[in-house]
Amino acid sequence: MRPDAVAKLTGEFGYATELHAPGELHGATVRSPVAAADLLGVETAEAMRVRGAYRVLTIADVPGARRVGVKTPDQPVLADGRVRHHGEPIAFALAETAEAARRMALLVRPILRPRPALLDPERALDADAPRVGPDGSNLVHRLRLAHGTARRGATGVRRRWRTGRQDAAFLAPEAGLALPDGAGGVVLRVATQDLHHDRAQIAAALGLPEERVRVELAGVGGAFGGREDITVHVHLCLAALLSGRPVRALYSRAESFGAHPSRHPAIMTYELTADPDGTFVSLAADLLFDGGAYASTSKAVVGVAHYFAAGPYRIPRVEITTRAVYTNNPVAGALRGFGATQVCFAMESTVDALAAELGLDPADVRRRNLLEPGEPLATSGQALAGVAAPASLLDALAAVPLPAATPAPGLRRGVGVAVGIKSAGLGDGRPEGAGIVLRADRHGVEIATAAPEVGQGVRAVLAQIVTECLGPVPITFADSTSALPASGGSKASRQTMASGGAALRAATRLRQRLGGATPVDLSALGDGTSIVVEERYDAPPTAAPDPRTGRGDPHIAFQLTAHRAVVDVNPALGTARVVQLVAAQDVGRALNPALVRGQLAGGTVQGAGFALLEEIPVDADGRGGAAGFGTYLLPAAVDVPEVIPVIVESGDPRLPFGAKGVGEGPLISSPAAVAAALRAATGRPVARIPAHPEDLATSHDPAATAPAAAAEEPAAVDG
Amino acid sequence: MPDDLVEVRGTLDGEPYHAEVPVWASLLDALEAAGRPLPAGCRGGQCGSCTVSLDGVPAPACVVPAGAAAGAVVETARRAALPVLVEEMAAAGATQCGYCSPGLVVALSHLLRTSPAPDAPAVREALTGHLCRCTGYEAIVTATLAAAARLTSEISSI
Repeated sequence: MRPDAVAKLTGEFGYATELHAPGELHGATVRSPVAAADLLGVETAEAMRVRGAYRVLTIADVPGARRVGVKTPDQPVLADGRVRHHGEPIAFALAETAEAARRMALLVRPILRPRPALLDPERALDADAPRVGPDGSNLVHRLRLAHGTARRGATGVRRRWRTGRQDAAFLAPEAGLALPDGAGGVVLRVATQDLHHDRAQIAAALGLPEERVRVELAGVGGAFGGREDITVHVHLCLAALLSGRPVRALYSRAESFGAHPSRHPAIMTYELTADPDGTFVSLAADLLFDGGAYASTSKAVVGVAHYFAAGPYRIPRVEITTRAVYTNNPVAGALRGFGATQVCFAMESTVDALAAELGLDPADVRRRNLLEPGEPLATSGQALAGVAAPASLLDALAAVPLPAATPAPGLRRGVGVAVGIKSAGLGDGRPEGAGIVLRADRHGVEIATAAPEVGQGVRAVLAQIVTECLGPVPITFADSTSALPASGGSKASRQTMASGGAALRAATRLRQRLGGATPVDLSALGDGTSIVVEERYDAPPTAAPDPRTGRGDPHIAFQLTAHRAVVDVNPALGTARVVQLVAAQDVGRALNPALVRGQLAGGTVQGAGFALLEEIPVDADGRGGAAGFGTYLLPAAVDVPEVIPVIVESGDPRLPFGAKGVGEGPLISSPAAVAAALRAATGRPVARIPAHPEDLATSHDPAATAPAAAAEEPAAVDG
Repeated sequence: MPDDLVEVRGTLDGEPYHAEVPVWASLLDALEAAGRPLPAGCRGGQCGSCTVSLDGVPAPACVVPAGAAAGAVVETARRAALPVLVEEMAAAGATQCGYCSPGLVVALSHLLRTSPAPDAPAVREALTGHLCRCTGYEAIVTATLAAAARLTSEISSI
């Protein structure tokens, strides 16, 4: 059982949204009402007349680096002469009460001179497009690879697929509390995915050495990638240093939707050819990801998309061009699946289209072309090592019976299957490791880790690893802070490997220090005596692929997944109900089966939400956002069916316990499977997700479905 | 007291509480002012995370006017939770980030007190107005049914 379960269920667990300190000020963010403008000034006089007003911070108050970013430092702490997206922070209003701060934020008047906004990512690289990127270019990143002979299969399909702007929609809005430490430094309590990355950005913006900034993990109400980028962090720390008082902020739900990056909307053109027996011959893909106004994690996201664009398939000829571009749309960045979700939808949808063109069963076409373990990926050429045979996941799905009940009269049932793949861990030549500290005394063992517990259960996994090694000793956890050895973030499905690996090493060494036997005898330690062990795990090294050829071994390990979805569609209304979802994933080894099943079920439902419901709307002027959960629709309990997780365990011998990361896999192939089921039920192309009722409605007259098929005409492919 | 404030007194988890809040404030605001903040995912009655038992009936505290709750018996998950439900939910992995959990526990404890043998659709129906982003609801439903079975067998064994 997870160590935080009972406290969370009974309301004893504290979250960042509930933080307060005596003498606190409250901050509220002034945001841009437009997508693109020059910022000529910030009028604060009226706001400062609010009772309880304290101060309004602008970029002029930032003493250090004016621009920060999780990967690329291109994002102003507060708008610096220009705004590049709707909702961009312009000023930070401080007051004695939260109500007064919000009132001030409404009364601060940014002086804006509108600029033409670039909202169409397909126009971003045109010569006459408005310039959004920091160096005058709208290209964030471009990747290209082309391998193999020029042969094409006798039969081919070309399709254009689009995916929408999904939000992390974690339930706890962004919040934090900053406190001056009394010595010129600052402490920030915040809900985050990476304490040390946050600290680096905060210190840079404040112009302080990193050791003067301490980031402490406050209770995290969900993350999913949406807490990789900083939000309240610098604003609060700056306010605390300038005021000498604790400062707190809490975003509203509507504000939260626009305050962190969303999933990248993508436009993906796929052309796949095969021989008449269904053997793939060539894939040409062009991927365009809308990164919005700032780079965030776009470069890494399109790296994942690029190298998994061909799925786990054997394709002799591949030619892939991938671009992320700047626009004046809301910022896109990390979200569970991290680029692999979009390309899985495109690739699997194309495979289904090709199977239909060939008149073959799509399951047979998949089986014919899925890689065997050890074979090279079609893109990078890296061997698919440490995984089950991809086809075995299709077997796992097929072993689960379809729903017994037939659809209600008038509904049309469809079944869809999709296979997905993504790396686990950062890879790409980036350092990948984690430190940990164990302290044993006669009462038990304390685990000190900077790995953020964001709900995924990393603490349960670490406690389990330590007790597996030492025997059933009482386990406690020290607070997670940036003063501990860096663990890297809770992202990229990496902590079971990275911090889990460190925990295994540390516990093994601690056991040696305690005599080497399991269970260890802590009572031998005298009162006041403790043993402290610090250890570190570093994952097997990777290398960024050769930029000219795209070849290389960038991945540490693989998450291999497959989903089967059953949906019933009302053909007149275009409404869809998911009847059953089956999620099969090779997790290596399920250290904690309950946690693994929870990851599979939860991620699968997020994927069904992406396929049918979830989208942040952006209007024709680039104004994005959702007012609340009435506009941004999360799947509710009555919307989702039974989700059946199937755990496949094919241990990766290179990893601690053979356990691969689990978190992202369930959100890679579930949207594609739901989309396939929608197509099977309706005969409509479902060329974009989320699918709207108008994409799913069919006339009662079968002859009238012809125009829908015509809309599926191949799109032009860019040179 | 300034005339734009309202004083709220009532019972919170078995103890008297009071708070002075603006007239427009919600019960959630009043509980925060009394030093008992709750998870609050939307503050608009859409997510259910701040659900409390109000005179025995689950309600999202964010949309209950504080003044209307004056004199009411308010119970959070700390007091309203059925222990057997908490045990089953903890064992099943029915809480991940946990932000929705106390509100869910209030609602599901009420369900089990008023409808001792619900089936899966009834459990899902009882979750109307509650959003969980992490679990996909699967473990929550399973755990609630397991808790109901235990309650039924305990009652029938008396």
